[in-house]
Amino acid sequence: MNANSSSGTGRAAWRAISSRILVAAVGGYALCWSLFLALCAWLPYEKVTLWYLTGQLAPLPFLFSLLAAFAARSAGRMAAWIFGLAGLFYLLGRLA
Amino acid sequence: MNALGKAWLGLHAWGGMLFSWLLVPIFVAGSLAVFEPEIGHWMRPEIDVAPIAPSLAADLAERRLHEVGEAAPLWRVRLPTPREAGVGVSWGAQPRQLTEEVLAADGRPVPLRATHGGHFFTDFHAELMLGKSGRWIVGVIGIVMLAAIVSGIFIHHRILRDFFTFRPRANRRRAWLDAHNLIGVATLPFLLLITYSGVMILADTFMPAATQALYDGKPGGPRADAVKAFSRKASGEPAAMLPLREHLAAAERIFGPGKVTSLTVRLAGDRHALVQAHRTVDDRLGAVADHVTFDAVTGALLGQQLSWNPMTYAYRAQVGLHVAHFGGPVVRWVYFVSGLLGAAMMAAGTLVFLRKRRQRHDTGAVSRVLEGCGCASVAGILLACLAYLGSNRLLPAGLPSRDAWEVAAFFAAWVLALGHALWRGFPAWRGQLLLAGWLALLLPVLDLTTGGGDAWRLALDATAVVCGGLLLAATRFFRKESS
Repeated sequence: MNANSSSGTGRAAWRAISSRILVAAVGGYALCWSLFLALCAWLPYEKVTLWYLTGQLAPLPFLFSLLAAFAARSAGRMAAWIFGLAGLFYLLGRLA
Repeated sequence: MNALGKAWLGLHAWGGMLFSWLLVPIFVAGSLAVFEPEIGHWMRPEIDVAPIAPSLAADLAERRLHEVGEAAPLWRVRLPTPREAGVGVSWGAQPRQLTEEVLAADGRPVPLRATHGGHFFTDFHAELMLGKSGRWIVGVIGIVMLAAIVSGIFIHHRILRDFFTFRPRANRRRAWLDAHNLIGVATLPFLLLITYSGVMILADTFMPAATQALYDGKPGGPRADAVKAFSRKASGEPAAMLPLREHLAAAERIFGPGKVTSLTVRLAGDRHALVQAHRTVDDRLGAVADHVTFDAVTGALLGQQLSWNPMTYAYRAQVGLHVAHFGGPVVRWVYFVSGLLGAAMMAAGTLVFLRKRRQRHDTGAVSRVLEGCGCASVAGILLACLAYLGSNRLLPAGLPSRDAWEVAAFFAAWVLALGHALWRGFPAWRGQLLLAGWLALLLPVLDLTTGGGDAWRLALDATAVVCGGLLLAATRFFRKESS
């Protein structure tokens, strides 16, 4: 019985960690893509300036997502935040 | 430890340990790549370091290119620099498929052995020899490294106290943790800088959002906008070109004496032929090469780029901070030592993690795999690098595909080290470090008995001796733990 409960706890822990990793990876990618879309749409700079500006910012959304995914109380909560933010940036980008 | 530190402890420990299996090799290769030209010189003992004046080098290159590249529309000449001896010439129809030679001071081509030279370490560092998929992998690893650094700051938040705490005679786990903290704090600015700029350089591969939005997904678009091109179509009429030394002199009047590193001739032999001269980048932070283009037949100035879009320059300044072409030997040595210290910091962290598991008497298959991969990523990669350098001198110079055999020696040594570590467990650390130390000490002997021995190669030999000595000294920490 103990063995069963400990393996069940182990499985739950792995599921929790996997979902955090998934949120960090997919959420980070979505956040970065949508942020760049919004910046490219709204900033009044020439194309080459925008490209090299976004290039310098690229590590930040990924870093934020990874750290946030492991600091949040649950992966679901963080997924809501990250994908919500990504959706907002995406809308901003499409509105321009 | 504060709340964030507690939340990130698992990410820092597990993420750091698992990803260090590739991060340590990437850091070791990156440290060696700082000296790419010097290692390339060591690996081609046929080249001597006799100084050649730039104008003479241009004459020698032009004479040789007329001999062998008359039919080729594209010529390139690499002028000798204080870091790269000999005159490099290449010719062909396609920029990526040029035939290359190195000329000696008398203008004759040097019969060179086929080798990737120091560029192998750059390639392995940036993309693990896997092309685009390798850049993806290194990019992801870099992001985890950034997260490990930031989380490490919160976990080991007593930065000042950590910096002054090292207890080598304390119990092993405490001593390795002290070493991990001390090196991590001392190299923190370097680690942040090098990891952030590294991910930034690779971001173009895995995050093409801006390229899609601004350039319809054309990867060459941003560069075409940033770098001015002065080109024209061939006229179809042959014409005699002015001597290359005259174009070199004209370029030096713009860039300054000794500042031109390469000359490129396009449409060679045509009335519309062009000569492009590139300026050195080793005296500026931004890795941007000013360039000037002349009419090859009349010598008229067709265009020049001496200034850059400020954002492009800011981006390329971060590239420059990563590749360290600026600042001369002092900066290169700082990068070399800091990179190796970064690898040592990660190795110490891995040892803390593994010892913790051993103390829990966790000796199952998972622990054996963790132990084996940890050892192979640290000691094994050193053996692999030494196998690569050693094979360069031991393989016959005329062996077909010998450059591929050198790379094979690197990976074979790494796989053998992994197998040994999986078999032996913790004692493999000491055995492999001992072997790496002795092989490093023997490298100068190999150099001196196989055609090396000039001042540049002796500098690499001396570095190998110092590193070998340090590795042998480090083994005593593992001897105590073994017993």
